[in-house]
Amino acid sequence: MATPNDRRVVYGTHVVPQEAIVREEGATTYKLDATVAKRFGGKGSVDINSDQAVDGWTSFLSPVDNLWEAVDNVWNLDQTVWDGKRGVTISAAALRSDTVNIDFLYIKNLGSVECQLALEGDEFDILIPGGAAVSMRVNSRSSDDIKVQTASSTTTIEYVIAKTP
Amino acid sequence: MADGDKRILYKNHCTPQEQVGSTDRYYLDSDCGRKLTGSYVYDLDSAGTTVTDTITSSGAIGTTIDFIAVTATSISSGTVLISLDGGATSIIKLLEGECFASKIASGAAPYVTISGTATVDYMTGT
Repeated sequence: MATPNDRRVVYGTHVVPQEAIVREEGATTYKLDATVAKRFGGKGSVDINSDQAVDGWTSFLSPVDNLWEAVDNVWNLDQTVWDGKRGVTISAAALRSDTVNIDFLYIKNLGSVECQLALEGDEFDILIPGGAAVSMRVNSRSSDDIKVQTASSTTTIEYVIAKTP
Repeated sequence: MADGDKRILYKNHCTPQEQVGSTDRYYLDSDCGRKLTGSYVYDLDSAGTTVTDTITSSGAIGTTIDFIAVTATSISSGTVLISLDGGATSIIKLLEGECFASKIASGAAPYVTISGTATVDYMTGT
């Protein structure tokens, strides 16, 4: 398909701090955490490049470029199922195959093993438990700085890693 | 769960969109095909604590914490950046009205850099 005129990602975050109330009958209900006393959240829209250059900018497409004639072994010889998921192991791996500046990143952990995310070197400071997701406006990081791994075992993720306009 | 025990519910979602022609409206991006979302309930243990504050100048937002949520409430000028290594490298940018929330590693050192005039709300969980 031809490159569209424009692309963007609308994203949002919601946070509700709560504290437990154990009722006389033993049932537990929750109320807003009195210490924080409010919800957190926000939303934004990130302009991204209309031509993302590689299909691997989302997990829903092939991780290799769509120039099939340039990667004959992938398209003609290897058998790969693209199910919209990307495997994550204890070996740190970059999400994109090229080196470009990234403006937006979204990752959801589809498994049960916690996924670790680094946006700089080997500083895996962002943790993504099973079922959780992170989304962020990235401050001009290079795609090869953005890596995922697990502490042990494996998990799967879905992601969007979009380059700067 | 005992009385008073704390937990944090958080959700992050995004909708990639594309505009085919310069005068067209934006539609769901055909490379993704759907809206994306993830949520998690982070149970703090019985000793769990939460902290919240509002800042207007650069500074650390806690040490040895497990969860952060940072919102750029207002930005009159300049930028709001988030670092997880004590301010050495800012990896996340917030525009006005945007929020970042995530579990973080215990060794992370979250730091907000405000250049210009901005108000930032944050909460942490430990």
